[in-house]
Amino acid sequence: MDILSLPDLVLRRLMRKMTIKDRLNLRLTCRACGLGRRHTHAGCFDYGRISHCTANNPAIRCKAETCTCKEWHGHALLEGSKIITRGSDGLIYNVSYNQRNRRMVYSVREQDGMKHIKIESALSIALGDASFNLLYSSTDDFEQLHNLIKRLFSGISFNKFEFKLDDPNSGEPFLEFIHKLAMEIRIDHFVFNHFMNWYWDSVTKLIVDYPNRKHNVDFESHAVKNILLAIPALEKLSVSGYPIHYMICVFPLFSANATHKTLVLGQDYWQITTADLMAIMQVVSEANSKRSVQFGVMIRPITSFLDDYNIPESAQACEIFGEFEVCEVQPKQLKVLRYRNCRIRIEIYEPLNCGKFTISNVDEQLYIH
Amino acid sequence: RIYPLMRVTLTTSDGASVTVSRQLTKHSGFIEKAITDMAVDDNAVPLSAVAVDVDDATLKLVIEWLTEHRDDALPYPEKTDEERRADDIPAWDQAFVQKWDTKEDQQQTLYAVITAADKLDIKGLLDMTCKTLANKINGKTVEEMREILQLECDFTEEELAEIRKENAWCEN
Repeated sequence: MDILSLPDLVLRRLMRKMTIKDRLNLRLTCRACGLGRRHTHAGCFDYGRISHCTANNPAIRCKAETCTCKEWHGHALLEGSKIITRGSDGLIYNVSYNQRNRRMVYSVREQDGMKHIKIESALSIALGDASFNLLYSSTDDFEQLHNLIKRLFSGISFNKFEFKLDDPNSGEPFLEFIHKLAMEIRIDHFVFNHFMNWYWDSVTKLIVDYPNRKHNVDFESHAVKNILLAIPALEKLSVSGYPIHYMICVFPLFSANATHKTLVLGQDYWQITTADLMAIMQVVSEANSKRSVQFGVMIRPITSFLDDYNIPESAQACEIFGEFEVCEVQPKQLKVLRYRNCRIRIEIYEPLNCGKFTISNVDEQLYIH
Repeated sequence: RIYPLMRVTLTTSDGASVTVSRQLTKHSGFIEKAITDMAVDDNAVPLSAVAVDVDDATLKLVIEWLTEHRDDALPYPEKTDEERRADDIPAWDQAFVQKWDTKEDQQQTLYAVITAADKLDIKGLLDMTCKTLANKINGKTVEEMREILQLECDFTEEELAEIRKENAWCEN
């Protein structure tokens, strides 16, 4: 008896105990491990990520005050960083970045004895415990990546897989690649970050093509109402970009066919009337499953709501105003109210003349991040 | 429900018979299903006979493990993938496996117990033995892996070069 004669389910379980690096080594042991059965033993991982980094990443700033490399965007001076791998057209460094040791792809040149780096357009990939980078220069690179994942990791599955797109020039090939990838690897929970309006058709298609999976979308660009209203039901929709038309009403987003379980509208330019607020509370209160909505507003809708329901500024915890019970108060900063089976957290930022509503039917959902 | 008095006779693939408490066999999905399929009245405390496709020597090891783990919670808690660690084998289990190391063919014993755990559907034992095997090869070089797993390199140089090239891409 040898390892290859173990039942397939056992081998799968075994692979789950091994790192990707060890699995890659195992491929080199013999033909049966290397060429024969690898596809069925890819195993299951909790998390995977593919992000497409822009060549113009503003998070890296140049430390070289005398640098005159105007043709470079986002260049930085490396000090004491260690070269890990020397590629044909780029070097990979470990750099201290936002207090986290991240691995990114740079091309490097020396000038006046100093190393200057250019952040390349790159695919950064994490599959379980393995992470690696691929310099991106053409759509062929997506094809190359797809073929390699198909060969090495076909059959692999992930509980959650995050796609992050920073480079607006590569949206369509990247989304096409995601589509192909979703056919090769099992993904239970898609997370789309940094997606823009103009890719939305492709993302929607992906969501529609895989309706039984959970989908989270973090919409970072300017929010366009028609697109937001057309988004299919998601586990979580997060819009952190500003509405492109000033004051989009929250209620149509909440009540449209897309009954997102969690709706987070980050900026404070959303519009809501007291009547719509009540309608949202009633829907959330009567929902059979977890539902929560969070949105930023200017101060006016908050004061209107409190005035309309005669909830005074001086309200104290345990006081009751009609159907509202005050649960928690921090003067001029916070009110937590209860309405039927629903809790309403109202945060007020007086100096900025704005605030935030969080309405949820489950306590732990009250603090949405 | 626990049936401490009920005893089950297991017939091995090499013709031996072993009688064990139902308290032990409750950890085996295969044996539990066999007993259920027999529609035995639990209250009658009968002596049921179940044929298992495991040899006598291996079954003895399985029973030894089951005896130690008879009070473990059921169902076996399948951990999520983020908890895929293999370095959390309990001390007794480690000692249990190390005992096999004194045997002439430790690897064969490990494979036999893994296979038995799979056939008898004993998730805790299967998990522990898979971790043991993974720990033997994790972090090892290719040569060491071949030696541990007793595998012969049957690649051509071209095939090896091709796989190394693919692996290198992932090892950046």
